[in-house]
Amino acid sequence: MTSGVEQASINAEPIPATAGIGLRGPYHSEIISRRPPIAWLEAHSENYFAEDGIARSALDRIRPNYPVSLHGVGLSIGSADPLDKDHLRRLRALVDRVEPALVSEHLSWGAVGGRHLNDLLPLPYTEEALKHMVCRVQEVQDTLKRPILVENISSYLEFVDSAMPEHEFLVEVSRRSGCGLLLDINNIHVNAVNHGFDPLAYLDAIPPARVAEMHLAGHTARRLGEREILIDTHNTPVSQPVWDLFRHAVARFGPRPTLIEWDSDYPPLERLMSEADTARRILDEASELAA
Amino acid sequence: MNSLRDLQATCLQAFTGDSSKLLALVRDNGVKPHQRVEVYRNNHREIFRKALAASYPVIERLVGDACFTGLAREYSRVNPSRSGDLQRYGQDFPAFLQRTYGDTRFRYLPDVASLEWALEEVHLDPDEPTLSISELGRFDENDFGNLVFVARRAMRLLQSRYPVFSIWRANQSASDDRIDLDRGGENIAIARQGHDLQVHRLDRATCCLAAELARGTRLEDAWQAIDGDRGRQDNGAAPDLASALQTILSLGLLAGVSAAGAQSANTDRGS
Repeated sequence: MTSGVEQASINAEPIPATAGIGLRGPYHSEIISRRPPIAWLEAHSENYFAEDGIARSALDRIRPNYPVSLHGVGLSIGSADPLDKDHLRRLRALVDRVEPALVSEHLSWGAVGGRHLNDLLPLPYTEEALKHMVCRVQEVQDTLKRPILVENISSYLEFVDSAMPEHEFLVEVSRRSGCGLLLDINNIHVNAVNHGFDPLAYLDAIPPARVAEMHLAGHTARRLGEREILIDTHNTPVSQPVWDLFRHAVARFGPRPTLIEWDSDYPPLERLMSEADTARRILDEASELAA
Repeated sequence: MNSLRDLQATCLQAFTGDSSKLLALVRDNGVKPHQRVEVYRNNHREIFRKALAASYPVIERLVGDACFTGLAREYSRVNPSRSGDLQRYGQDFPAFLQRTYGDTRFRYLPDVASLEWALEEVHLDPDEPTLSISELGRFDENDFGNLVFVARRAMRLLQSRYPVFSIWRANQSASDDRIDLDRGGENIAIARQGHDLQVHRLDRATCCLAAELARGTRLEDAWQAIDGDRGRQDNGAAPDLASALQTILSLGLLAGVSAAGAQSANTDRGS
């Protein structure tokens, strides 16, 4: 038993291999009062760090009714700085209380010399960075006493020092540390456009057994001189190229828990549920084919 | 090849200041390195601007978009984030505004910011049952002077020389009401019960009494402390203890009560 929440009140079901939506503050009241039919919810861990605050109280009320995943955005696993022990302690306390079916973080860094940029920044894909990332993921898993998932990020630059493609780096982190992969399909599309690689080849290089979850979100195009660059804004519907890529991913990996993310300019909850329905239909088609 | 630490330090410098050193370390791939780096520089400014605006929507409305953007940029320079959790990023903004505007005609802005930050804080504070007035019934009236109260944690009191409650309330909608800054100061109580967040304007005596009680001062001592000029109302009227205490209890500012000298285990908390 963990503090504050009775064991019996936890929805102990695993995250189903269907579509869920991101749990964000503007939707708390509606989800508590109306209990809409959503297969699962994913919460940003840091939003619920305040142990007895209003957000944690909402999560405590929501948790018994839905499978929940915790998704961190602030641990800065890839930073050369030591892991922030206080942040990790608070994450562990949250994990102990919420008992999420999945815990995930990002293949990124965000702080140096104690100064936080609070952004998901790209790593150089070098052997040094790989060893560092593997070591840090293991440290997080040892602290939480459970495997985590690591998510590929959107990026707008690549380093000349990189010695391997992102997908190879990602798979090696997973293989060496034992973590699972959270594949963000929108991020793969965004990076494919921004850096000029084949997104299908990226997906085809990922071993299906490593993939435990997928994310879908919207992006925004920004013109830079002659070229267009895609920005991972999470404030628009999932685009058609991302749906197409998702179909390819589902065909390759099979049905996986898939999240619709929306992080600003929040639409009505029904809009997210509608996008989740679209994702669910694609996942169901794959299930039927596999049956 | 750069070490990981050196590369990250170079990125920090590039995203927050001089980007020239990073440009040689970034691939072109059809978009110029300086354009790629500029995306992160924009993101950096926007992340911290949004974080500050989420906590201070009234300040943003009062100073306008361009000014707020400038304030946010300067604030992030002098108060860089030290945590991966942005929830407390804005906590030094009232002091920052005091340094910026303390001697100007906008000197009321720090107090408006203090009100907004207090609202942020009570969102993060634990919720507790409130003490109801009926719970005082178990004490002998002769012991009332010895009562010591416990304040609710999800509660804040603010006293300002400016009409910040009126300013804050007028900016909760698209209203263009004009507030006369010379109309005098206002006292404010903020209390959260569950998801219900309430902001109240208090008279001076009630606010002073609530502040004394929140410090754990005996009721009689608290009353004596304010039963003079300090508690005198703006209209010159003498304060009324019963009325002030009733207001404090009805607004849910207190969580528990005990008689001074009694065991702490006997403290009666609201239920």
